[in-house]
Amino acid sequence: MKCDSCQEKATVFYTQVTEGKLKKFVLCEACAQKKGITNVDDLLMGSDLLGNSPPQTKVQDIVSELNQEDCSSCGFSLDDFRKVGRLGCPECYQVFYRELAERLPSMHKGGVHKGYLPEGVAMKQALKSELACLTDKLESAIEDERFEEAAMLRDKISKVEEKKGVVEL
Amino acid sequence: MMRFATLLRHPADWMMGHGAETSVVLTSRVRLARNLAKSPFPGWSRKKDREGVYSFLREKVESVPGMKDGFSHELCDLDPLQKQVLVERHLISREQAARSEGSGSVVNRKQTLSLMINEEDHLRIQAIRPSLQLKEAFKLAHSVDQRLEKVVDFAIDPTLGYLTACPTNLGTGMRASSMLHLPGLVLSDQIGPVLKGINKLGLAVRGLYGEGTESLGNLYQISNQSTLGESEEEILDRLTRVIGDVAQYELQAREKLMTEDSIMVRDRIGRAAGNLSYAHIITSKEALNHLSMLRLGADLTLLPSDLVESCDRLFMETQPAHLQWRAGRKLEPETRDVIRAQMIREQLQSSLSPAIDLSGKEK
Repeated sequence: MKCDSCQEKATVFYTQVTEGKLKKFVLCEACAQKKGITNVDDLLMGSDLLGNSPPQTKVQDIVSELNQEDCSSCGFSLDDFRKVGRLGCPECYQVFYRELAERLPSMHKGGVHKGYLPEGVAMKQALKSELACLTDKLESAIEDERFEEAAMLRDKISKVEEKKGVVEL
Repeated sequence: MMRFATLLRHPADWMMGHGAETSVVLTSRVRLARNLAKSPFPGWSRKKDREGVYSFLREKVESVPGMKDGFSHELCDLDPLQKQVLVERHLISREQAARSEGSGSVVNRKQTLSLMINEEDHLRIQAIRPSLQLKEAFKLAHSVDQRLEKVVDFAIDPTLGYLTACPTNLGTGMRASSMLHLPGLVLSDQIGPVLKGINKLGLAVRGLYGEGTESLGNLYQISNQSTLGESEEEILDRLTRVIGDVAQYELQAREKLMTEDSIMVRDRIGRAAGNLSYAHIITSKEALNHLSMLRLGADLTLLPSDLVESCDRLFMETQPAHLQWRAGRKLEPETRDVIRAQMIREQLQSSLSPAIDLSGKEK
């Protein structure tokens, strides 16, 4: 049997049950080690008996990594990204965001763009964050039964949504 | 359309000396990386896709005012020597020189704007200005960007900014750099700590031809490393401040050398002048290092000031590809070294007027 990650001979077999679903994967020694599984027994004991949670999150990582699909737009894979350090197409930034988010802090001063954006994009972005802010306020107003304020906020929201629709056209 | 020969005959305004302003900072360059929203990046696309992107972008780029009567060629139409000349002029990158079909270079007549199609990204807009003028260079590149965004759908994510083939260019897609001549800091052994300090500030220092090239002729490029998380203005401000500081250190180092070790400085400049005036065989590395000393001599007014311009011209024209282009043929390195020495002697003759005649010609 071949390793799910690199096509080498698999020696580590792992089965996980999440939300009632059975997930099986097989790895070679090297990949297992790379992903932080040195001894599967340790891994299983670690989380439950010693109350250590880190192994559990590692397992989550492995599962999501093995589930990582290639970019549907250009066919680029996570392995390709790791090999060349570049991406295949603009769409890849969504697909491989997890992996990317880990790397960005070592490359840049921050993770959010603060520079120039063309007018349309900037406007859309401003309306989006305004909308998110108003929705938050609306929710807390409803929760606190401040209905007059809630009605006002709802009107505001529909106005912003209208504007946003125009921009997107 | 401008022919290659015409481009070469006219040195760009940023190549020529600009007096005291360029005594340390020779040029400033800003490039913006842009990509089409719906196409794979050049390094991951099929040839057919690349050619489609090229012809689409070429038409849009050529329609930008000022680019129409410029230089525009697909790289497969240029021979290796021509490509190398463009690299030496910093009009295309070394990476782009390795490409052919579906990759192109569009340069305006003044050679202040150079647009690379299908280099690492679909489009790179580069602006070059003399001396420390990063903001002016940015304005120039930005104006082209703003024109193009009206007719081209660029790949943008509101949170990540401009999406680029390599995540190191993400965000603003902007790389700004200046070329500095730092003989004073080198002669006074201060260059190491200064470069280290620049690195600590998150800026990159490179040699004459960018990444992985060694520093020749005491020329260094300083550029921003990070492109995400700061606005263009913040990046340019910081860079301008640091480069201004380094230029100040350089001038102080020169002054200090002239008061404390003037004999050593005069010796180095005199030897360089001697070598350049009388050498009959000279490699491009040796030429660059001597020209650097000669330029320092002219900047310090120990030598005629018109030598600054001659040095700047020779920095470029003694490079291997420029030399061969001028000779009109491919030359072996040994032959290049002979022609280079001859060219330098001729150029400097009027300013340095050698007293000894070694030409072997009958009087």
